[in-house]
Amino acid sequence: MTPSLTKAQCTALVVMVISPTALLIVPKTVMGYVAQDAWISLILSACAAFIAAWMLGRFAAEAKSGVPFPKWLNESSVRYLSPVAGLLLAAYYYSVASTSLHEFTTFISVEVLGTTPKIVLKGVAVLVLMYAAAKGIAPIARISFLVLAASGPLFLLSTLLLLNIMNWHKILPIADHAWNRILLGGITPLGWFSEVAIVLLLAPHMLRPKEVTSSAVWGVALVGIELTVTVLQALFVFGPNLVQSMEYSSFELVGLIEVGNFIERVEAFFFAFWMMTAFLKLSLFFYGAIHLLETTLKLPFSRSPLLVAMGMLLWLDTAFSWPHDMNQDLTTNTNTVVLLVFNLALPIALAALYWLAGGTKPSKGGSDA
Amino acid sequence: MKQGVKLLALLLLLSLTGCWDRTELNELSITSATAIDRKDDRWIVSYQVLIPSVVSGAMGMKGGAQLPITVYSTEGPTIRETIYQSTLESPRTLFFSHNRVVIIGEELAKSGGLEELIDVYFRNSDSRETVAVLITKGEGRRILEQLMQIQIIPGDGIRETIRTERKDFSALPFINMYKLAMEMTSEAKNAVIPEIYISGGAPVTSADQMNKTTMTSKLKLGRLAVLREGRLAGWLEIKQALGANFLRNQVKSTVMSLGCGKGESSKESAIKIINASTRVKPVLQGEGEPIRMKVDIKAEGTLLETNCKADLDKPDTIKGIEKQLEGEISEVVRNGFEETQKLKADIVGFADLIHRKHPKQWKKMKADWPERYSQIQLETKVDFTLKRLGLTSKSFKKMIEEGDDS
Repeated sequence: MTPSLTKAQCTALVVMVISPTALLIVPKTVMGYVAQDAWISLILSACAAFIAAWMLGRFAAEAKSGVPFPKWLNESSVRYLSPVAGLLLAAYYYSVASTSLHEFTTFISVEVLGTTPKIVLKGVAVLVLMYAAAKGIAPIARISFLVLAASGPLFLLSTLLLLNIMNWHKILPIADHAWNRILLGGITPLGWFSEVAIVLLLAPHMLRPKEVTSSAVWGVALVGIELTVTVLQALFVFGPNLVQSMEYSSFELVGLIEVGNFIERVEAFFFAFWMMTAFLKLSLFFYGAIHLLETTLKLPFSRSPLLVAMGMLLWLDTAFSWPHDMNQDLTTNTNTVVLLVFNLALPIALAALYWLAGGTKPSKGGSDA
Repeated sequence: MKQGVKLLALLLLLSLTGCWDRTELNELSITSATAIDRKDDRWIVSYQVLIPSVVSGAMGMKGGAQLPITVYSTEGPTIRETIYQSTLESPRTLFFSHNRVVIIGEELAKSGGLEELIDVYFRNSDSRETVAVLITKGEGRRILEQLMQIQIIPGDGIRETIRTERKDFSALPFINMYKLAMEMTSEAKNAVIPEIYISGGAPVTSADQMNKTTMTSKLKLGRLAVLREGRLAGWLEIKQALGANFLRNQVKSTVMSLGCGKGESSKESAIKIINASTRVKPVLQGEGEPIRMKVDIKAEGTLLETNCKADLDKPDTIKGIEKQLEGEISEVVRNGFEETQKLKADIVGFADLIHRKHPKQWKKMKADWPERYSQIQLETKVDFTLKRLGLTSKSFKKMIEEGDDS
């Protein structure tokens, strides 16, 4: 394992981990709770996420460059927790990859490829993920940075093209809902923000692991801005009532872009771009599951057999575990609990135990590169 | 081994082609307009379908040439089943992504089937929410059958007509499916749809009828249908619709005519109004007291035509015209608003306004809003500035009179 990630690449990876799925689910879920006050919930949620990102970043910054997270944990004061934490996180990353792949293929199926069997869509996606995981984290990071750089102007362009149909008065009345409800509305986005915990996996790959805290906070800030602007766009265009019934309001929005008779039906362009971000997220989680498994279990063979086995498992799991496409409860409520437990509770508990037990103990160090 | 991997990679590429969803252009029926009618508990959906070979080959139509469109209808118990019934009579699959307008039959609007129609649009990705929505008296199919001379595809023509009207005359709003859904889910739950009708005599449905300089009938935009809780409640005449549009702050540009002095009934001057903006401020009075709405309209304009003798070089004359037009706009707004009050249909968004400005009071008055709306007192203040007089300052009539005097 050769550390190669820069701070900017790590920030891009944090954004790609949170943004693709949150962009689909957050507007509908949060407006379902607090209608036009959704942006307040989001800002509060982002504030809580900043604190979480800082804490997780500080913990991740303790990592040694080039030493995988489970191995570093194994050399620390909480080494007895290393196998459990490694396996739990591997299971979690696999689970997120599986759920996100299901959401991704459902979206593709609903919006674009309605007749293509989903088992084929999932199979093709799994092949891409296997290829990405085989190449390692460096190419995923480089592509993530390029996609992040391109997404800024694209986001700005979509906002500008929608300006003429926006009505900012729809934000009123502000704070119309009780504060406990506004806070409740922030829980689902917090679940997605908590995916910043990926920095635990990324820090050892960084050239300077100490910079991971800054990457985590910047990543959350960028996604916070993106989600808040997306929610405001949907609110200003559709109003709070309509968004609550829209599965993919972010894409409904770009479907409205019309400039005369020559710029219309541009959503295909945005679909294509979003698909890139979704593949990056899936690749990262699939890579995470593979990486954690091979380092926790100290597998004596090369990555290829594990990749093939996990790829097959992911394909069959996503192909047969979801009898219905609509899993609203699972993808919002249950998923939020899982996200908060594995991204916040588990790492924070590890961090607390790590610091209570005296941090990193002198070790022989080393690398499994 | 390496060759085996390459072969496998090549084979895998086959799975990326998306063969299942491939669609050939010659397998599609591209609809340019759709009409939805309701008869008892049955849906009747009519389609204006393009004939691509004619559209691409014959931009200028000759007498006896094939028409670029064909119209047919299907009937069924639900909208989507009705659409699928078309497979029984058409060799091609209906394709709605290029559908430009949806015409709603009056009976459907009366029976309250719009919710189902909107559901179809929001549930299916092949139907676009940007489609323009219009309403017609009688059956919608008749509108689809009517041909247009200037625009080869009538569906396109209808959409462009309403867009042009909104841009240049602004009496009728451009309503598309998502705006209709937004209005129907607003606080007042009322909405509007512009009317389209066939003006004149026998409908023009064949190429022979088209091959004349004057057609026996034409498609024309008419009144504004008012929907209360998803059902047709009444109609606003074009001037009333303009008044309501001022209150909705949706007047982009329009033209109004004036007499030569206050109280003159014959109109001899025309003024183009631009940059109009309306601000409405609700004033809630005591319990049981009617709500007051302070309406502040600002606009600018250009003199387009006059046959009055007044001296336009004098500032007092200009001020007089401005005052006169301010009175005219006030009158139009008041008439339009009073008509909506009679219908107890808040189509101007006052409910949303009160909800935004006075959320606590709104909760109390929400239940009997139609009644409260019908009692609202409108206080209109118009500030109009005549910016330009055109390329001549005197009317031609005055020039002739001055010539006679000298």
